[in-house]
Amino acid sequence: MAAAVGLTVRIETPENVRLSYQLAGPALRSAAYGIDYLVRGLLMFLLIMGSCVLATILPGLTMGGILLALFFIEWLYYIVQEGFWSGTTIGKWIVGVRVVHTSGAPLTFWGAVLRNLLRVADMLPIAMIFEDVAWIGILPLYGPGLIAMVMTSRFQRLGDIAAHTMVVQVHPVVLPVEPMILDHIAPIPRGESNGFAPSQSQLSTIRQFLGRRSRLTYQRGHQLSAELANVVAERMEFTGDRENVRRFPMAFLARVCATFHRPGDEAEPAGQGRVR
Amino acid sequence: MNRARFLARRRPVWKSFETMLAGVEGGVARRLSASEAFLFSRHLRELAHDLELIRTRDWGLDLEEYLNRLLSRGHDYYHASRTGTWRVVGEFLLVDFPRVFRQWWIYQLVAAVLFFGPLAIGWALIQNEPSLASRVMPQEALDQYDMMYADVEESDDPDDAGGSMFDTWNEYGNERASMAGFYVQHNVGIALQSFGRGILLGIGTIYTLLFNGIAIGATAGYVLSLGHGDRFLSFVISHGSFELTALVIAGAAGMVIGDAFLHPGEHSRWSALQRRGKDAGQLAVGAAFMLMVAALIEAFWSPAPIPAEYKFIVGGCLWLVVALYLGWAGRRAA
Repeated sequence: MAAAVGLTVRIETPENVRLSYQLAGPALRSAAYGIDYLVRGLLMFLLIMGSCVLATILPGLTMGGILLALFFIEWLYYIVQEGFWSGTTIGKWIVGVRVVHTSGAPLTFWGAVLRNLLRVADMLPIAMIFEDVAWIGILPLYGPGLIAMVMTSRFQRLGDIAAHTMVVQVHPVVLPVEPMILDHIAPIPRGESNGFAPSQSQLSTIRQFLGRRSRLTYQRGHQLSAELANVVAERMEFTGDRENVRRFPMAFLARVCATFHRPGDEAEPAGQGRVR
Repeated sequence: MNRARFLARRRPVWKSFETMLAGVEGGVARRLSASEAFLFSRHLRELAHDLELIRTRDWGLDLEEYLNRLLSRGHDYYHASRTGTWRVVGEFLLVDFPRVFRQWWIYQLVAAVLFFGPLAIGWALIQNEPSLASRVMPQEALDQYDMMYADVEESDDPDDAGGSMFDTWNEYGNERASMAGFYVQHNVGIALQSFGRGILLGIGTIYTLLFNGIAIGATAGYVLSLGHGDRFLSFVISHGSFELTALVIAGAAGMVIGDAFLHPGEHSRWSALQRRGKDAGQLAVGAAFMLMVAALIEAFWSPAPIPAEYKFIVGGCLWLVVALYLGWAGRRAA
């Protein structure tokens, strides 16, 4: 069912648990990088501001401290955060992505070290390779990283490949509520549905669509559900008012759901051979 | 079991797992008691079972997504690696790093040749023919060396242009502290960069090794040709032990990963890279530690106003220490 090209990665853990993750693409990752960049700049700025007082007394020591801090911000910002904070940094946390190993295991310390030390190779400006083509210089960063991301199936930059890591999206965990109250919707009479019963997956598709209908505009919802309603009506050789289906596809879908949802739940779905 | 009954029965378990997870992920109490850990692992297995059930019966993608997210979070917590302690750091420095160093000795050898070879050639050529120096190094740098060694009273840092920034110093320690920061930021940065760029077939690494070898050799040759041999050598011998060795190690680490593409052996190129990745990263981190030691020596000991003979003795001992450390540390634990 899942397309070959997509953001979903399926993993089987050693305990035979199948987990799926949503990969984070270059756009999300650039956003996280941008935020981290700002945070690093801000840290540096605050440090320099804060050390102004000290600089009047001990200029050399302050200078050394600032250079040392520069080193830490440059090289250890990512390693420390990702290594000790399960693959997130401030930017990644805000954007909602994090680093995991491709096996699904949480990021290890050495994984964080490797993927972030190799960042310098990923960051090489494209401009360094094509120096004579001036406008490519506009693309400032992550030339090799972007190329590697496009070429791998899991959006891995070079550091990710070497360290067996990938960046996945983090979603809040919310227990889904039942999408609607079906008690007041009139079920489709048996005669009009010709004994057709949709499969569980068809029903759950309908349920999900109805559950999300509040997020769509009316026109878009109508447009999308028209297709679905039409297919369902065709399948069941619906003998009721087809015009109504065309005009109120969402209502028709809700009726389908009301008709088959609860009875379908009561019965044992496995071993039920009457599809169509 | 139908969907409604299943949901009614399992939902409390999921909820309690969720709160348990939120508690341990909060970071305040990361440890579970024995009975809690037992419950946690049981819930984890039950959740995996629930997820499979929902998948096979097609009980809704949103439910599947919910359990998948919950389970992956639990899985993450359950399998999180132990956070490092000081003991781990000590073990790495005293056992793991020297061992990894010896394991990839052939790369260390190649890196050493690529670094010390041009260094020796540059040194020998330029000491005999100082006019060649201007072909390798910018004239300003040479002028700076002339100036630095012109007045014999002051012992400044001969191999580093940044030293002249602080010409109005009167407090020795204060000045030195700033140089320590500079050496860490500059030298460790160069080493880590040369490692990181190694992944591009090792070209960046080899360039860094050759470039630094030539530059250091030329500097040494030029300064010695001016007749300041004692002062220069007594300055560089101490920290050179850690610094030059670490540069070579970082270069070797870069070549270890770069060579994974060229000679992957019986693996695919990518998997060869992945198999070598951790070792190479450990080499680079070890080299970074060594460079920090070198930075401290270079900032506080090397320029100290102490007779050259003592510096030669201490410096020689430091070379011996580095050799013993890389050659023998961690052997007994094997």
